Amino acid sequence: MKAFKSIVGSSESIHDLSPRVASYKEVKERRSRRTTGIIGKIVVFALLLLYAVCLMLPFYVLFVTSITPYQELMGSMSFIWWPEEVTWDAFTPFISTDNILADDIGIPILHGFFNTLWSTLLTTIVSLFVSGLAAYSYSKIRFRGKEALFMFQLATMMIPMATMTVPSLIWYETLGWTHSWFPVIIPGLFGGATTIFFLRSYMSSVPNETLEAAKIDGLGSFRIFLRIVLPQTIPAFIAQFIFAFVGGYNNYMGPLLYLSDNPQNYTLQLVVTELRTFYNQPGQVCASCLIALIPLIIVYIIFQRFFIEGISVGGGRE
Amino acid sequence: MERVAAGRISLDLHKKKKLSGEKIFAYVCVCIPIIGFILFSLVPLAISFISMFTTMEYYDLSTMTWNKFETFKVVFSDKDLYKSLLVTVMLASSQFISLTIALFISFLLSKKPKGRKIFQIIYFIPYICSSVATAYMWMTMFDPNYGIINTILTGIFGEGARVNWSSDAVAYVFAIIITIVWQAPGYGIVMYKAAFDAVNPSLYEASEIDGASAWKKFWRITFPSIAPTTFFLLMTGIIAGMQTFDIARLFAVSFFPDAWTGTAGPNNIGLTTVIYIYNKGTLYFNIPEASVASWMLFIIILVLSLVNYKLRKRWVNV
Repeated sequence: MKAFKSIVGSSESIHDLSPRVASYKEVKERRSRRTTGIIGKIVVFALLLLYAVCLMLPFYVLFVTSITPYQELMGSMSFIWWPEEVTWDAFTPFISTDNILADDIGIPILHGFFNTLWSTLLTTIVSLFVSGLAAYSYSKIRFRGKEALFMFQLATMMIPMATMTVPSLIWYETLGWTHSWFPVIIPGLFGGATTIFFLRSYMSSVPNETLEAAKIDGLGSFRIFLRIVLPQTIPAFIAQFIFAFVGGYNNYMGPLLYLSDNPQNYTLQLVVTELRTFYNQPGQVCASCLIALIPLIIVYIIFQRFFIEGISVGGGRE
Repeated sequence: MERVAAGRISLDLHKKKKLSGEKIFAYVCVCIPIIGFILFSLVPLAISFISMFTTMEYYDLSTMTWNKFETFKVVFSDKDLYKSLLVTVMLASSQFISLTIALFISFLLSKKPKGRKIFQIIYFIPYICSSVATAYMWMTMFDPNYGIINTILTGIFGEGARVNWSSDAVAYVFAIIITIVWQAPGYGIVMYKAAFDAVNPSLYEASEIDGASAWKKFWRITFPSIAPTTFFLLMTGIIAGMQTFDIARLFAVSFFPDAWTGTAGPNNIGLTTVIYIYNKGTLYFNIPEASVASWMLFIIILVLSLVNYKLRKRWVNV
């Protein structure tokens, strides 16, 4: 029976290709297959849409809760899909100087955003540059002990330093760095093993002949890196930049450990968490989350191609 | 590499002077990340290792005194440590749910439905949201009174289905897991997309001619080619899950009133190992005890990473 079916199946697919007048039965079969195809497509689309709605629902909740008056929210025993009276009051403490920390930080969201931006960009760019130089050296320059050094660098990737974040406190305390930006920034300036590993494998695609030619032209190694290697491997750098930037923008534990005692040093995430303790009202909490989320989501939507490519290229290689 | 001997000699002669400069450049570039690793990873590792065998006051290294494994006795007789490990494993295993969702959704996406690009963009948004905003938005949704989750539950199952997410231990864990699962699959979907795209389409055509069913096609063709991605995602997900801190702590601090004592949720049910370490280190200023727990977690994750590395190497070679 099975063999028979497979013969029929294969003959059918051949007939599909050959220009032949179809029998009534075949036409009927083909039509039913097409309708199941359409139903299948609708089911697939509906499931995907349902998942998208589930994922986007929290954002709607954030928005509606932030524009609902406090009294209406507190008096309600169920979710308010749309408030009777829309109010934007919840946003004011964050986007104006009308807040409890105004003396220290002025407009909190701006202050936090500025702190997050400069610290993240500084560490991300320097680290990427340093990693790039190391990757270039491993990939294109011959020197004694290269293999051993690279194996060591590779081995550092295995070490789960994240588990040591809290014990590292004493080291920074000994250095006198706690309550300052140093522990958040300085360790990040030395490049990362994963980035080096990824950039190195990407740089192997740069032809050696080009580099040899540049060398003959009298270009130094640093200039070769800057003028030839960097421009040719820029997609890899962008991918790694995005990874690091999103990580830095959302970093919570580092600033919490070292920066949360001084409002001057609040990063965006700390502004959101610390002001929550002052304005413990759902409207304000949701408003601050919304303001903190929007910049990154806008950046993501504009550059989503880089995000997705960067992740699927960068992640697969470990 | 395979240059004509004469040409090689002439090139080498040309390079001779520059060679040393190039090498120095390489050594400097390669050593910067290694110096960073030594200063900010190896040194803290060493200090925390030594501190395990000592008693210390506050974060003062000069007060360290040898205490004959007393710290180990204290930590390993602490029931909270074992509980925290259990909680962490529980939360880390939510990775299986995330992975199943990611696989299912990217399987649907591989059917090339309408609006596929927009769906992909939407599915990745939760992944870039900061843990602070994610935790707060879900806390709003889990509010017993005005939260949307309870509204939906009571709408379907009646008033008896109202869950007190912040005081019921089981519900509290579910709330954290749901929050994590909302955020996590985005990465998997992107990675799976690349894996699905990489499947050779001629294999499908061949199997269609042979009359293979859709189910068979999935298990025989699609599954083997996405298995390495699955394994990679599972391992990295579990490794990250073992270090769960942000969302669990934010829930503990803001969702649960007794947070200042270090209690994480009702019955301490949200106490992950990293929160345990964090409490020891920052709330009780006890770095030696924090170090013992950190090193335990360190070794667990190191073993997982090594298993991941070894198995992956084998899989890729096969």
